[in-house]
Amino acid sequence: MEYRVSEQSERTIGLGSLRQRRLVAERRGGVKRPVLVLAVAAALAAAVPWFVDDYTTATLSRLLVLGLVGLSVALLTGVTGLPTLGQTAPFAAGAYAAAHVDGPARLVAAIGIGAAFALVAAPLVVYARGVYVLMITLAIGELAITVAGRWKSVTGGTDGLVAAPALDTDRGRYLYALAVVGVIVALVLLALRSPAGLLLRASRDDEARMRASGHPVTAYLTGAYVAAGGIAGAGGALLVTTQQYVSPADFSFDTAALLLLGVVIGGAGSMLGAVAGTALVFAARDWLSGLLPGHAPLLLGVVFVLTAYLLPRGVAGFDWRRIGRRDRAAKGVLWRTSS
Amino acid sequence: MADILVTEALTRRYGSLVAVDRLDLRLVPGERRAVIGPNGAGKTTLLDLVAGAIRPSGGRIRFDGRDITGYGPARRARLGIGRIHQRPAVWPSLTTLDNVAVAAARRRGGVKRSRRPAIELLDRLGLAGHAGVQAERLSHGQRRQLEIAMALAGEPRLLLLDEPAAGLSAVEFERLGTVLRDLPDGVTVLLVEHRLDLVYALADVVTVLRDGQYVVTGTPDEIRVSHAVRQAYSGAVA
Repeated sequence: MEYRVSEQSERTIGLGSLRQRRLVAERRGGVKRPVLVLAVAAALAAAVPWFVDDYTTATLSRLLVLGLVGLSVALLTGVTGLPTLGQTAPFAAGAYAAAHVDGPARLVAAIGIGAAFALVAAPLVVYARGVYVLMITLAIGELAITVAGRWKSVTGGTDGLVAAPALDTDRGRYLYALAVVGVIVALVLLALRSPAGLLLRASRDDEARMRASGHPVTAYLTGAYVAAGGIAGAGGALLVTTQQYVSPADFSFDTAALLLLGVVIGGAGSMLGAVAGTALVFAARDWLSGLLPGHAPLLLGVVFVLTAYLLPRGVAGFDWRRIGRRDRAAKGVLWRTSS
Repeated sequence: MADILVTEALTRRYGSLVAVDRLDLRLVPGERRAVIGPNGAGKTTLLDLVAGAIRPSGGRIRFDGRDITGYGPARRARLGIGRIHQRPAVWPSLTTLDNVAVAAARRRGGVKRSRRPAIELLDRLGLAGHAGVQAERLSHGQRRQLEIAMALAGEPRLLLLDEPAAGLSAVEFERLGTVLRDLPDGVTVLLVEHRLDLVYALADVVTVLRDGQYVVTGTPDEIRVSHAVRQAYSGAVA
């Protein structure tokens, strides 16, 4: 079927009217300003260890690790529509693999093992939908912890495993974690802007329509699940590098639930929002547990309920310009009234 | 000429209800076949069965000589069976242009290669001005037009149309008629539609169903004056 484009449409689409360009730029979140903002944020993040003590630097390293695992949760929950409580499993697989490897191969091994674990588990997950995904991934996560606690020859059991130190200082480990997280986040953002991102979003929007267009949706979901497993595995390598110790307690149900909570609060559809949301939730948990011993989970639960009601797309998904518009509208009303 | 679509004793049951009952259908390449009948006649179920959205309870479906009864919807689509749904099925978070490009991607070797033909199709269906707009912002009629563009983008050999005129404005209806009339000769159409003016204008052959069963097949002129057709509809009303 060959059709020709009318001159008017050529002007509208081919050359791009201002309105069309603005709409496309809005959809993509703009180009220049976010890159600038991210560059400044990265520079500030890199400078942080020179202004805080070693304990805070180590804590921030751990938050970066959890933010990275939160990214893998957001990729599944927000982009592919597979809400998960089981990313602690490839996180653990990557961490234990990394604990047995030294040097630069540690990260590669952890990514590989995390992805391989996800590939094996994928058939259990990618055919399920909605709450069943949550239940199955929860079971996968719990099974992983059980195996980690009992397979002493590999994991050290509940005593955990001490890994060889990778870098000498907390500052060095933080910067390493920051660099790895930055590169992986950038790769994910690029992938989501590519046709692969379109295919995943379309699969989430209407799976039946995708199949009616000939797309192998199950293969796409499997690919995304394996990629998310690799990312969680990378988080495991960073965990081992930053805290030089790993035990089943690092992958408990609490961690899985807080990861999902952080992603929901940050915005499941926004990768950066998910990373920031996850890091903030864990930081808040640690801060609140010191401030209000025993009440941190309750307060986080309240935050979760409020977010679900007030910000269904998370903080990153909220249209902040609405506040400005409402403000301007109010001023307009006042101005007209006073005149 | 070998038939492109053949159904043999095709049956679909929902418990005790038989939605499609031992239906035999044969379509030759390029044929424009309409299926009409009162509500509950099994028209949409028939399209669901041919598209692979549901499995038959009995019988067989052959497409271009191949038994596709056990094939899923994606595999059937890759063979050249395209479809538009009763309720427009689009991807709301994607732009109009991306919707068509993604729909065409499997047949045209990727999303990027599909953009140019996608733009051409949008232009043809009057949606070029909305290329960069998210599909969730389109009106019902525009979504319907978009889904037609998506179906055509896959270059189907058999196009299943489930009430394509539902909810269209007069202008959109006119444009739909033009687009369907201008389909390449090689494209076979199986149309389910309540608007008989579109059916009679487009179809070479019309099949009437009632209660999942075949009633009569004929040209539009024959169907217009068929006593069996009037009985099928009046029976439904009664």
